[in-house]
Amino acid sequence: MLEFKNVLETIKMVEHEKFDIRTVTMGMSLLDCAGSDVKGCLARVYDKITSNASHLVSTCRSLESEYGVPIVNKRISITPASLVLHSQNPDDYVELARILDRAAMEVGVDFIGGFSSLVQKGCSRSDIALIDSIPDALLNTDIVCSSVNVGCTRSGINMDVVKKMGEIIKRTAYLTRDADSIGCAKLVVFANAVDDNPFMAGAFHGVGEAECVINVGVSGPGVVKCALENIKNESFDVVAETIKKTAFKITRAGQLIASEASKRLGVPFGIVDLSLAPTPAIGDSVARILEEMGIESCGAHGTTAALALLNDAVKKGGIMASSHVGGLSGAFIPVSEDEGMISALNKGSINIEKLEAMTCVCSVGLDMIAIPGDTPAETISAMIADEAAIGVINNKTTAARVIPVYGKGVGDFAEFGGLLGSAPILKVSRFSSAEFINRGGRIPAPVHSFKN
Amino acid sequence: MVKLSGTRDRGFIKRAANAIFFVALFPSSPETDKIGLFLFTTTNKIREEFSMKAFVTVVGKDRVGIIYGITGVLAKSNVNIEDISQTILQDYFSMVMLVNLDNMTVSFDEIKKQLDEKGSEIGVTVRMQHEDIFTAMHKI
Repeated sequence: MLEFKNVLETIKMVEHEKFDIRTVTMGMSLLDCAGSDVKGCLARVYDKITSNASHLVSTCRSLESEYGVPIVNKRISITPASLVLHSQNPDDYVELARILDRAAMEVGVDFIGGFSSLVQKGCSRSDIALIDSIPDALLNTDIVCSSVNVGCTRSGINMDVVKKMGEIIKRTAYLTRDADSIGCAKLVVFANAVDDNPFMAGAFHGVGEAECVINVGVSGPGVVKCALENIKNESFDVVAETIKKTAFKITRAGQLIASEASKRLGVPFGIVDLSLAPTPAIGDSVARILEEMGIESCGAHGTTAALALLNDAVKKGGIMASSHVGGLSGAFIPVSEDEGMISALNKGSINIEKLEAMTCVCSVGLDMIAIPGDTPAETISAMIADEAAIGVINNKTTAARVIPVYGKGVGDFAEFGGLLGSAPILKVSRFSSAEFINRGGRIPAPVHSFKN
Repeated sequence: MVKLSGTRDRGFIKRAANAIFFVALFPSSPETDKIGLFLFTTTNKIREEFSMKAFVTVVGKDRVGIIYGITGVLAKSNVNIEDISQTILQDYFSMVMLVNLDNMTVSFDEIKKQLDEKGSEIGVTVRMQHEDIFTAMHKI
């Protein structure tokens, strides 16, 4: 029989170390619902989502009960919406968002992602209309998530859309000002976005993916931290090895749940995303892992190196554990969703400059960062441009999910609630980037992307 | 191979394997001996493979009657215990049992509920989980 201590170890991971399956996401293609007849398209979209995902929530509940591992979220991701509805009228896209919201609530999932445009080189007419509709769409829906891909290593950066997104984020913040600009928490601007990310707000079901798939996102920063508590003062070799082994076990659980869910729902298995995704709960923080490694407070010098080790070790451990690893797979640093980060911000040990450095070595970008409500749109665009440049030059995914909280400034707090957490407002540079952003055009693809 | 979904198919395969297994136990000539042996080993593997097993774990403060209480619930629903490991560390009782659910007379959720209730009665925490989650994590 399996060793006594192994069984108890698994139980301990769930009961005390906050191990969970963060999400089971059903990705589905809506390409066969596509069209420019708005009424027909929306009806087809609603029917497809509600029929495909009708058993998703109940199946996850059974899996939770049988395997004893909580599945915190059930989600849906769809084909980027600008490819599904063809219209030049932003109001049509707001209607689409409403239908997605309704369909998702009908089947009982927590979020639906894919209200998206992939515009790394240029915008189609549908893309322009969708992007213009984002603020109203996010105001009028609860669980719809949106994303825009503004650059990729092969195409360079679309600076026209980068400029636009700064304005869109400001407008979204304004429209949702009664809820601390929560609309911006459901909008991500990507570079090198991936097709199979199961996490929100950036999930969408890429073109080239199968008709319908199950993608699972695991998590377990608490488990990694507890593993490191047992090896205080050991060398980095031991630290890396310990994280690797822990990531292996976590990913194996994700793989099992994914293959069982896929079998029971009759939908092919897509990928396991083995990201360490924190929550605001105590004991579930990525920042605390870095502090456990020996950094006094997250953001002190050495944080970037620690995160680089963590991100890499997590990937190595997880790759062996799953037949298909995908999504973002690494360590997440969403500021408002991480109890340790919030604490570091309050202590003053971390700032936006350090966070930007950390995005070079982890698997996301500037995530869930609350900034002053009066930050100019061009400054926000410039922040997006910085993140896009990091991603495009280094051939990795980066993103910006910044929230200019309307009516609040440095020293205030923004409250988003639930998994989205709460955040102190971060200081941004008071110098202008307006002339830079107003140039427009495209930053060409970097030379090392010409691999043919 | 056969595409399975859920316990119904597993049950069918198991019953088929059982049938062939018992037929295979009756060899009659040197030729059928070889076939018999082949069927025996293959179906034995199938029977093992498609058994539904779970780990029941019990943790709590030690006292008289814990094993009696928990195993009683399992026996009442025709659940067979295949392996037990138990230890006491500084007054703390912990036990892991590998159980076979093939001939269980109630549903998985029902027996979980009964174990939960018995656990509260005795003052211990009882969990039951499919064995796969443990083998997945700890076996390469």
